Amino acid sequence: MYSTKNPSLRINEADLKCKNGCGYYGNAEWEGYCSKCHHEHIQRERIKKSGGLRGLDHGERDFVGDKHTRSPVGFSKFEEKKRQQAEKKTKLPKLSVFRKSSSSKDSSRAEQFQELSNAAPELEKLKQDYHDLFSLVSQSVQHDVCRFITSLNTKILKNADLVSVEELSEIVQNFYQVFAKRMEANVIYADVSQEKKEMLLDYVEKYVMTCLYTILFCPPSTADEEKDLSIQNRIRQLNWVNAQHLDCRINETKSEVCDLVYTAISDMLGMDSAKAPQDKLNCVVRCCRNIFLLLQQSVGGPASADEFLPALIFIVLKANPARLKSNINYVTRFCNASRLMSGEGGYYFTNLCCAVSFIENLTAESLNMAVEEFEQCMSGEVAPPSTWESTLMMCEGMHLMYEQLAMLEDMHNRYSSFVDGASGLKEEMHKFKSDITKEVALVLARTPLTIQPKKAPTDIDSENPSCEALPAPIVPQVVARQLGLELATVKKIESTKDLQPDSRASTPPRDCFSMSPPFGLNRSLDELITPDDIFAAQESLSFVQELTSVNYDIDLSDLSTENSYAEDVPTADELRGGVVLPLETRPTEDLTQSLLDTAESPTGGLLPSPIKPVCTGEYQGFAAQGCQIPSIPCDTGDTQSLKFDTCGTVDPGSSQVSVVGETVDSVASDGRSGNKTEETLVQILSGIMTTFDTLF
Amino acid sequence: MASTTGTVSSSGSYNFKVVLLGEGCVGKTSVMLRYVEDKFNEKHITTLQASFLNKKINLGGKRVNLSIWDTAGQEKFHALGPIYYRMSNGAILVYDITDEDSFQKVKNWVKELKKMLGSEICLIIAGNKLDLEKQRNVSVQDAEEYANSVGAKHFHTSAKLNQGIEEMFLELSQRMIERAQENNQQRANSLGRSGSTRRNVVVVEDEDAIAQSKSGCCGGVSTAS
Repeated sequence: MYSTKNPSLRINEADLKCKNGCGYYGNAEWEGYCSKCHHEHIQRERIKKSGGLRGLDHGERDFVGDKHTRSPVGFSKFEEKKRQQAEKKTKLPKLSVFRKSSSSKDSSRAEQFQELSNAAPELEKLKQDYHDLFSLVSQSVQHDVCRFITSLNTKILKNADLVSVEELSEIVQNFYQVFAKRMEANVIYADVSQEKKEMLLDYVEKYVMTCLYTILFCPPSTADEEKDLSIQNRIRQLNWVNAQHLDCRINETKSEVCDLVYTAISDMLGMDSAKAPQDKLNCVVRCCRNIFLLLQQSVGGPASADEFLPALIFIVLKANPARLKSNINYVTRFCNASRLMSGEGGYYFTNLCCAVSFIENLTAESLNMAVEEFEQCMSGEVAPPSTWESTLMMCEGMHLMYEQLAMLEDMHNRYSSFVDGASGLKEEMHKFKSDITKEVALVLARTPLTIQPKKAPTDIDSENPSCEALPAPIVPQVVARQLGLELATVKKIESTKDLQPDSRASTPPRDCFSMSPPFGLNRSLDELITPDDIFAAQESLSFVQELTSVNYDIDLSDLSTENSYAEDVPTADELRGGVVLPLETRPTEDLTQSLLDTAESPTGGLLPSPIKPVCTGEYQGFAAQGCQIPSIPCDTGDTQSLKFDTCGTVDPGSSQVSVVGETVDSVASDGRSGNKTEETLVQILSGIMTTFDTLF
Repeated sequence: MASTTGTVSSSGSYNFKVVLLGEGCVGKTSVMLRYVEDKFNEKHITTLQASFLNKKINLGGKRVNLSIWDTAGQEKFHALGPIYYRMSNGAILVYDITDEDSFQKVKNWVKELKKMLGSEICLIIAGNKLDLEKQRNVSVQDAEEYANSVGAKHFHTSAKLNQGIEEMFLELSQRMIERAQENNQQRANSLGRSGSTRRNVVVVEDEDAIAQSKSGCCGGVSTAS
């Protein structure tokens, strides 16, 4: 494949052998030596020559010198180069030919370098990160640093394919030293503080390594990859190892500790994604700090190395970081040795190396297990009861449990507060009930007093004389119309009307009431109106409503008086007394008046008109009477409406009243439909009139 | 040779790496905590870890940076020792005066260190828990004799009572400075170079050391264990 590309480069095999004659193939880049002999040669050369700076010049000189002899071969792609290197390892004879050609591709390397430095976005970020630093140092320092970076990059790229990674590491480490010395010795760095020098050194390292990461990390010439795989498999095999096996004091059931374990693991895994060795080192530092944090949680004090190392091993086992060996080797090779051998990072990295080494050489003994058990676990036959996975599951379960417990607690709290509220409400209700009962008792204690005086119609009857005038006007009306009584009586009535206009308004209800008894109203009223019923009605009134009991007491007592007077209707004397009663009581008692007046005032307005025709058209006969009679239903209708007004508030009372209303209605309908009833009515009225006449 | 790496920093101050070795529960961590805590009480004791600590001291006008590394003392981690003490300038071997076994352990460590690092490393043997003098199981004479026989300095310390610890670290620092100066002198003499070239030579030596350390990390560890 390569020969077809560059067939002209074929040379004799003898020319390919090492100049030392050790039997291995030599290389033009190694001045005709094989890698081993070349290394020795270089060492000798270096000791002969004077030091690092010149050594760098030497490199530069080589670089320039090679340029002339090189034939340009366009292998710019990194993949191809990788493959070449892989094949180099297999030591194919053909490869030596290729190597010769590949050694002379410097121009393409420069391109490659350009490519690498342009491609990596990390470099831009790095430049930004260190922007502040560079703004603080002089221009010449910046230039010098850039020059160093470029020279190192070129040197590494030049040697990348040719020397082993160990030699590359040597070059890089040497370069770090040279750069450090230069910063110490050169005048342009004189005013740069020690701290900034360290930062510059870091910058150079980070920049170059980020640039060359793809070439220097896990180079195919090494066995890093196989080691990665083997350690990965090893860790996978050891997945059953738990904290107890390692005598590691990690309290896995504690959620904070668990979180820290996860953080530490992700830090450890993050090592692979970092590019610069120092960044990788920082990942390790972060991871270890988290381990110390979690140990602090578990141990309760600053953790010592005795606790730290097992915990780190545990984390490494659980993290199983990708390309662990490659990363460790990369850091060891290319991280500034002075950083790696001292300081926190160095210590943690050393511990990581220890952890890996421990894992690699782990035996049953180191886990305090019987050999058979260990073997069984390793082969996967037996899984120890508490593996990491089950612990994780437990942890998750615990988390859930705690969450649910918290929820239950919340619900319990809410429930208890609800119960408190309910009991409070209950108490309030009890209090309310007792209050009500008290009030009712109070009302009950009060009500008999108010009812009794009103229940006695006799008292009101005694007031008769003052109301004498009232009953008279009505009786003549009817008689005058229907029976054609003497005008004198009619006039008499009219004069009484004139004299007492109020009484004229109040007559119609009196009419109704006076009329109703003959139609058997008294019977039903007798049944319904008992003192107990009235009390019940009063109770309910006072219970439900805010209205003062007095109102209704009186109202009901009015009804009761009406009823009671209705009871007495059969006898004319009592009837007269009953008629008088409402007229008398109303003006005296305000509340009754308000209710009854509103009910009667419209009727009072309506009534005079029926009366007037009576006066003018006395001789119109039955037709006129027929017209006039409906005025009664109008009244009854009003009494009914009066009843409905009260009905909303007084249930038991309304039933009584409604009975009255219905009966009155029936009276009206009867009166309307049949003339016979009218006649009887007229007869009764005439009877009444005669009695009045006799009275007067 | 490797242990001298990083001894003299570019600024002229000394950077020393000191490892604490010894069996578990002999009080390595306490010794270290006591030493760092007493001088920088408010600063350092709040740290969450007690396994790695830096301490700057001034000894006879020379600035010394001590990086003190604690090691896991459990027997099963014994094999990891080489990774820890690699490139260290000094080692403090701690034993418990009430525990004869821990003293035997110190002897093992000394043997191993001598074998791996030669005489490059400065050794201090510390008999800790002096406050438990009544329960002493390791005789003072035995300990002193053994220390002298291996070229180590013996100290009696008590982390609890803060006895002998400051002195021990000062002595170790002094020894390490002397050793570093000796090394530099030797190197300068053997190579016959001036100061400026010696610096370059040091660079070359460092490269070797790094190469060695690499093998130590990957291959060397497995062989050691």
